[in-house]
Amino acid sequence: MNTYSADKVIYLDYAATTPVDPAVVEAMLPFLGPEGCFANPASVSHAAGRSAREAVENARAQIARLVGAQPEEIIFTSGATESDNLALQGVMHCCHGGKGHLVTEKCEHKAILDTAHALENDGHSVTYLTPQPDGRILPEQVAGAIRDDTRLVSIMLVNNEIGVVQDIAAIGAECRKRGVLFHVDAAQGAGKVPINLAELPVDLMSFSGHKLYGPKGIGAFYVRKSPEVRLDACMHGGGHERGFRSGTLATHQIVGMGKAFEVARERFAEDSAHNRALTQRLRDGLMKLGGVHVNGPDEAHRAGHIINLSFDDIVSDTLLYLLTDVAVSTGSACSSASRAPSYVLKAIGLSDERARSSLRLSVGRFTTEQDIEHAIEHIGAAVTRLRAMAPRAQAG
Amino acid sequence: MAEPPFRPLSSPVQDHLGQPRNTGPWPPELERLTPVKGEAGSRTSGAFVRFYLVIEAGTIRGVRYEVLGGPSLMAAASWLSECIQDKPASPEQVPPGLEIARRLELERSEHGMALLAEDAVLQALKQAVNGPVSSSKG
Repeated sequence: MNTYSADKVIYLDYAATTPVDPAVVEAMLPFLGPEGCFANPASVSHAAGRSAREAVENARAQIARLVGAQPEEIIFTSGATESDNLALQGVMHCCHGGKGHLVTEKCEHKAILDTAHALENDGHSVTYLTPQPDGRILPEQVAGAIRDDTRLVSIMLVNNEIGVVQDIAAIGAECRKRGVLFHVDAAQGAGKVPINLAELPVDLMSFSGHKLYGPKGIGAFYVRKSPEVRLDACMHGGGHERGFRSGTLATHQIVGMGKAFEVARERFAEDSAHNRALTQRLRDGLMKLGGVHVNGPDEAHRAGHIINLSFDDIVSDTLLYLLTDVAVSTGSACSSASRAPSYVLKAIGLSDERARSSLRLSVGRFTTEQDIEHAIEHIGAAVTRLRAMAPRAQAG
Repeated sequence: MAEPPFRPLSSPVQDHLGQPRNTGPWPPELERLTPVKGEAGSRTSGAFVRFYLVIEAGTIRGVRYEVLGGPSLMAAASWLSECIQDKPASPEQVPPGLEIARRLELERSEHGMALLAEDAVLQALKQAVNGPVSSSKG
């Protein structure tokens, strides 16, 4: 059995998940165990339940503060995937009745795309916008796609593979002009890109706990109160969370996510500068190999913690096997027989060859400069080794 | 991002990936000889292999290869290069792809990679008999 050891592996896959911050662990512990505050937050008939309820509401406020929302606009879910499902299915199946139209884009997370496909199977229609070569969706693309029967536009804030930051203010403005609801998957963007929902024309937003140094298995969902957003619940059974999401609240998870968001708000400037400096160093160090390309956005439109690089003359699946000391991701939907390259990289127009030679590198709060230097060394050595065996161009 | 299952490599594949055989420059005694060449697959599909065989007096005296692909293809090329070294230069001596796959304990979905390696060697041997074939750009 392979056993992960933080001492031995350089972790550069923060976009996949993050370690729980020690302050978050400390905040969660009092809500576990027989001596802890373990009561059901819905059991407000006794003091133990009321204490748990208070902790939940405190966490709700912590999350709201990071994103400029009102606490009562934050709903707890099991994660951003559930929040995305609630947004799309909740709006499209809502009491408006009949079939409607959804606008999204080809580089969205599978939580959006697979839900969109399911809605198509239910008889709704979906437009999948093609991004620009740098990954951006232009507001005019959204405007051009909206029809009389469009009920919802869903565009992610930060793309998880290439790190492109979408202009959700401008896209939301186009939706608002046309009276169409706007949902944003902010799983990768919260705590990395400024969000102020008091000013943004966004109606629904999804958040993830484990992408921001919180525990896995918890997420949040923003539902604007004014003007009111109507959507159907996906989970029934008790009417928790304003009727949007039934089920006993996981107090320890919620407290953890709240603390994570609070820490992220306090450390926003520091974390942002740290992440960008590290990815820039990674890029600069690996570019020295030659034949290395940045996929997607330029620096101005890239979230600081994610960078996607292609390496000429290698297949990144093989590179992964050689990188025993570095944890990274390829982002390719690798069905071994077909070796399908990343759908995100294909959507922005990369060739199959370039898409198959790509690595997604993502850094975070606990990544050190030493980690980056070692990663450059390890990745560089592995790429050089594979290139030594790569086909040379043939004359004639 | 949902990742596909990361299949562990078989021990033989790990061995050949970690220590690929028949790489690097030709030995001095073979440098005077012109190798024949055969290739299979395509770069755009992410699986391409090219073999170079130095044949003298009907025997494969030296083997080198270039490969762009996953671990299975790299291991197949390495294993096959070792297998045909110093063998008679005839198609009958080339193990079929399924045998290569079996010896490397490749999953069924990876058997095609072994077939590519076999095809590339067979093409090189055909060139030895018929003369040069047109090069692909891979």
